[in-house]
Amino acid sequence: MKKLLALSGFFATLLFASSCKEEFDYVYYTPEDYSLISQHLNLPELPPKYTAQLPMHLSGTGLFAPEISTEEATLGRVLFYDKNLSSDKTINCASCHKQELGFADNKAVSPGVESRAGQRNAIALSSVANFAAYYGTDLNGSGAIPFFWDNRANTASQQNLETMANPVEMNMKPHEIKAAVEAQAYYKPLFKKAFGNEEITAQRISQALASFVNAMGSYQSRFDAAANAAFNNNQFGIDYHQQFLNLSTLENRGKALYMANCASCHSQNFGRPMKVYSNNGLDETTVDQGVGGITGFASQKGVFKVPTLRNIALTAPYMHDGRFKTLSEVIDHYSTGIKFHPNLGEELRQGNQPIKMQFSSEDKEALLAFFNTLTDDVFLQDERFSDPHK
Amino acid sequence: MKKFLFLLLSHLILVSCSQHYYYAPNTLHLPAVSQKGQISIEASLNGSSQIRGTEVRSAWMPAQNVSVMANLMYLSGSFEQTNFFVFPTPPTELHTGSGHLLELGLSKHFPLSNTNSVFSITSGAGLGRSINTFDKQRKAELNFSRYFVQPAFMSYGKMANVGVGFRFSYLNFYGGTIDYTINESDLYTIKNIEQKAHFLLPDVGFTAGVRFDPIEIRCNITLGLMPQPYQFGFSNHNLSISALTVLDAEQSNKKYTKRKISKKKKRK
Repeated sequence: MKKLLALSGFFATLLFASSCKEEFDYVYYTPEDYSLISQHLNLPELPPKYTAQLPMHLSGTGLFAPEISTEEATLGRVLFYDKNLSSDKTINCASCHKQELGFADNKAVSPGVESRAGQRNAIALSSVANFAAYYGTDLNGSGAIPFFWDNRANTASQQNLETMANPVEMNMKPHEIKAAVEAQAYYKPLFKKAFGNEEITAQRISQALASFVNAMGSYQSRFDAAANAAFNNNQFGIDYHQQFLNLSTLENRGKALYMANCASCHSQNFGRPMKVYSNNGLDETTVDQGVGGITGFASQKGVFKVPTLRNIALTAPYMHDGRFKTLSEVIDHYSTGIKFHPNLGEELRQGNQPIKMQFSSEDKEALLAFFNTLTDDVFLQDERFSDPHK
Repeated sequence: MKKFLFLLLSHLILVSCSQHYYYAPNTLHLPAVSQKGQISIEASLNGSSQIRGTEVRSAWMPAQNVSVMANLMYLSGSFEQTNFFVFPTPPTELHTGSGHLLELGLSKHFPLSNTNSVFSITSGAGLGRSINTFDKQRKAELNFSRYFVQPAFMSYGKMANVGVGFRFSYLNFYGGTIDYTINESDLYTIKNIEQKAHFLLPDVGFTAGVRFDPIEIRCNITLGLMPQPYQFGFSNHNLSISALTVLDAEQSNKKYTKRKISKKKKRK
């Protein structure tokens, strides 16, 4: 009997000792792969997740961020910041989409390879709550909101392939892109993680870039916090016209002006725009025909994408050609500067007369204050979207 | 009644959802031996909505009213999953899971006078591991140890036996190797486990057996009483049917000795 008790005691002690370690090992890269990667890149041993959890005021009204492959987005991040993907190795995606500027550029038109001038202003990638939720992702195909100012691409993959091939942007043909990526040894383990093997193709490069960009989005602004609070206070419902407790009087006034004058195109919650494209009366006649230049339809000449306005305070200059240097100039345009164009949006016209919104100086100040609440510092400093190259 | 039906329905829906489990309770080992020298061996088939498995339970009474037990459980299950939220939709993935637990225990029996019933207290410890695979290549292995104290009551009839027991376990996840590319929801669950690491788990178990000497067929139900086990990927029940036999070692020895003596006598 004593032997039995002693044996039991020994077993219990052994068990206790064996279970004191308390350590979970999460395995992602092999040690050899990580050693190679970390020579060139600042990537963490365990990659962060990229699927966004949109705030309740957005998801509660039907906007959901789809699942994003961590492995593809991690690879896409490296590609996004890789200058080898341009013909003279001076341009990467971030050259025109700078994180600190809301993934926009502070130039009217960004220079491409060999300083070739681009044709339009770089769209701010941070203007959306979530890129994939906004554009609908490839899943929705042509039914989704298209890409570029002229809506000529249906998917993020198509968009990035066109950009890389554009002679005034990155000027790379698909086989050149493939060769440029293959030349960097650290890409092999990243491709293996993302796609199951080390094969590098232009299609996979494009897909990984699309995953990275689709993960982007800005949903942690002061406006979102205030809207969320209102959503909760209203027991899971929201009226964006109501006063938000967490915004100042001036900001609430600006919000009211925005909801009354701008939201019918740019949306109330900055989730998805109410119109896919429109003409906003910049010119009476247009040289750049925008959507009409692609489709050839007269009714679409001079019309351009309608973006949502998140981080708008950071993404100057504005409009498709970057003509307005400040947000005040934009407000002035809508206040008194709208010109009649045959395709002028119906929200901006009464018959053949353009509407002048006639904002007072207090209104303009309030609008500016409200637009500042759309700035999302968390996203702008999010390391997951920063340059990983050493 | 409506509330009960709602709870039952919710439970069934939750139980029937495809998911990975990182811990499942084994069947409570209720007393089967009552005399010094007896050895019991019980084999069971276990099953719930997704998990199937086997258990072997054995006990030996080396001294009157003191017994030792050894229990081994092996469970496994699989399900297929397609992620429609990723484009292009990937092929259907086969997910599998298995787990085992080996434990030893020491029991003190207190026969209740003038009845065929016994009250017992058992304490023991064991080691276990759960292995979940996600589309064959990706794997999450978690190791745990468990210490328990189990008061139980067993009543023996001529034809049937019934018993009930409560088990209070201290479960400790002390290590594991997890492929970081497994499903995000499972990674979240595992991080929940890692964060908590130590669990106090109360279980209740019932058994009812019918005797067809020398075999007894038992139905066993074990229910975990931990609130919200799903957030940690724990299964909270275990149903099994078992076959039990009790070998009387001392009687066998006596018979064997008698046989030897009679053979010697015959030779003489």
